[in-house]
Amino acid sequence: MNESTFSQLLFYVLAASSIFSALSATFMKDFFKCALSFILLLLSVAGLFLQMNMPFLAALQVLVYAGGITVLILFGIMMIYQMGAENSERLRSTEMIVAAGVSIFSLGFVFIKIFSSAYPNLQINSVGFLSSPKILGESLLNQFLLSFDILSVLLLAVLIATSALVRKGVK
Amino acid sequence: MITLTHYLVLGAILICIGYLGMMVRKSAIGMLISLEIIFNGINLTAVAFNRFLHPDGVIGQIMVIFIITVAAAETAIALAIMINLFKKFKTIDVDEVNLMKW
Repeated sequence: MNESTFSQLLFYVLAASSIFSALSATFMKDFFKCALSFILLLLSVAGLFLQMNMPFLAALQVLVYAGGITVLILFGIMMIYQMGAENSERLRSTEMIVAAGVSIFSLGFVFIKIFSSAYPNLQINSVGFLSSPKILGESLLNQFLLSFDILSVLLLAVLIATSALVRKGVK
Repeated sequence: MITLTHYLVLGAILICIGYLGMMVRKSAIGMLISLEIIFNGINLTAVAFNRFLHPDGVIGQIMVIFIITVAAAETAIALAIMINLFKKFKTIDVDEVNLMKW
């Protein structure tokens, strides 16, 4: 098995696991299982980032998404069901048909656009390509400094707003 | 060989699954998870464009970093709102919450 076949196989395994886990995160009844298959989706996408030679983004995805956000979601699920909600839901059936029709239609439209575009067969050309955190950090602090600062202010605002929302005695 | 089309198709499928979940789920937590699935599809598409069309640039990766940050912030706010919602309405079903409806 040469390297190209291996990367192809790896891509298909990761794609199948991400689609499967996205479907099960959408359609499972139990929220806990939803969150767990959501973690599987995040890890598969991190693997796809790794396959594109972007190890920093993969690490960020695992640390912040799979480590932080899903823990937050699981914490919320446990806290809300500790307070006495039932741990299952009925899905909407009428909207399901409409939404499935709309998403299949738009997916077909996107597929037509993708397959008729000018660069469908573009391949990974640079063998020695590796995205380095050094270049990312430099451009984050030069070219994107304003957005970086706006994001840090956003995070501060979220910190204050969250603690204000869940404090005791809020009506 | 894996081409750009593979990644674009996978990203489109993920976005559509997330949209389906947003329409179908009733509870706020399920909708939040579906929203995160949409974000993942967008991240994959942005990174694939960056990798294949402009491998020396960083703008797709910067966009992914920003999306991850905003997603973390949004999850924290959404969970705080959900806890308040449950305290007030005893449910997180978004159909039941009709305070601003008239």
